Amino acid sequence: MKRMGSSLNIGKGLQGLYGFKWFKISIAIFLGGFFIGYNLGFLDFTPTPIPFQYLVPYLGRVMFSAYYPGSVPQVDKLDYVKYTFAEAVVVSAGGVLIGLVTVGALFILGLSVGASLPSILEYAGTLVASQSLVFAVLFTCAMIFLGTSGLSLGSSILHLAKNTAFKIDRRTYDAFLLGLAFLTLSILMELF
Amino acid sequence: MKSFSMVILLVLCTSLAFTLWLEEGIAQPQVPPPPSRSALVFKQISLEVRVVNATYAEFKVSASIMNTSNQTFPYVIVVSLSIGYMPYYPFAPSFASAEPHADFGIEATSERLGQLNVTVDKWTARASSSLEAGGEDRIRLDGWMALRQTRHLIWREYVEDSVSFSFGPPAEYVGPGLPSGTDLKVMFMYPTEYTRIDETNYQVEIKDGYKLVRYSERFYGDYGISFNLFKPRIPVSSLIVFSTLWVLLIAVVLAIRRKHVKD
Repeated sequence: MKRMGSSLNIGKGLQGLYGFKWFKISIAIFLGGFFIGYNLGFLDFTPTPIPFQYLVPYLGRVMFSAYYPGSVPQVDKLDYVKYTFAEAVVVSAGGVLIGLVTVGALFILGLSVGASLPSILEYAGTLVASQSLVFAVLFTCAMIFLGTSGLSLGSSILHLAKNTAFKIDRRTYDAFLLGLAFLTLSILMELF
Repeated sequence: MKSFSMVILLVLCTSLAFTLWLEEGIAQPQVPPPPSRSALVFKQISLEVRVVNATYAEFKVSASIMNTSNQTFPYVIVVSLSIGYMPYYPFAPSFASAEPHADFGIEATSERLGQLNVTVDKWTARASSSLEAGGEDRIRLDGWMALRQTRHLIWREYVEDSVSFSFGPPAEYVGPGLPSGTDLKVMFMYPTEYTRIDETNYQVEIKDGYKLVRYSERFYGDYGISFNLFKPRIPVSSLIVFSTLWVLLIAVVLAIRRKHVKD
């Protein structure tokens, strides 16, 4: 009975997030960046002048090996985890600067994921391609949820500045917890 | 004070005299000066490179060498391959490979001495020989190499390897090119699907499924040729996703527009 109640709570929480303004804004920013990044990557604009794919090295590794064949990449699993975790921290905690850092980080990370995908689709083997695509989905979910909490935190701080009362929406915590869950999954994906 | 100045003068005189005496005393052995590098004269140099596909190329070099000095002149023939990509981004890969590899082969043949002994070291092959005073020889190099620097973009595939060869004295540092400049005739062949980056500067013939470019350049003891080829490719998988993204975007725009019209 208790378990049923908690699953209902999660469902209700997700439903609540679906109607949350900051969730929609977070999705729009990330997917906008993704769309631009994919187009740039597909049209061969990314390899040298725009190093966005270096921000998500787990996805960028296929592009490195296609662009520099026979070379030995200087990144390892620890670097993958370090970068993913640092980006998650920037996206969620960047909300304290009234969400400006979160907006920028979400857009650039969307750009990075999008820019890396064409190389993965073209040159990675089936296993690496499927691993990368699963990671891309998990990473995207993590960033969107953490971005939601960051943006909501930013709006609360702005509200505090205007009204001298700190008010934070309950859905901010839900988004943060969901973001953490997806972040853990994407880090596990990078490790194995 | 006067005596002090006298002492200094005396010391200076003795030290000068001592060094002069030393210079006279130690006899320097007379070493004949090495022959000038300009003593090597090259004639009729030709280079023929054929890129068979994205991973394999063959080359032939032929050169006549004359020793115009009055003493035997040892020299080396060096063939060097491209060494791989250098890192220039924090995440960029390091050197192509730190381990020696034998993905190339060279045969050096002298008209006078027959097959020469070739030593291979990572990306370089060396063959040594010598020419007696006033002697002349014809050297021929036959080689092949595996192409490693094939860069893949989404719409293009580049072959960026290079090969260079030099003839000169067996010194570590060869220095500037030998002054005996002569014409080098280059014949470069590559598959028709490829384009050489500077192809428009040359007259291209098509022969047996290969593009053929002939040109001549000045040779001063060493020469290198970069392949710099590219061919277009159709990115099928990413094109499907690209089309899907655009179809989705157009569908969303149309749906929102329809909703606005209804309202």
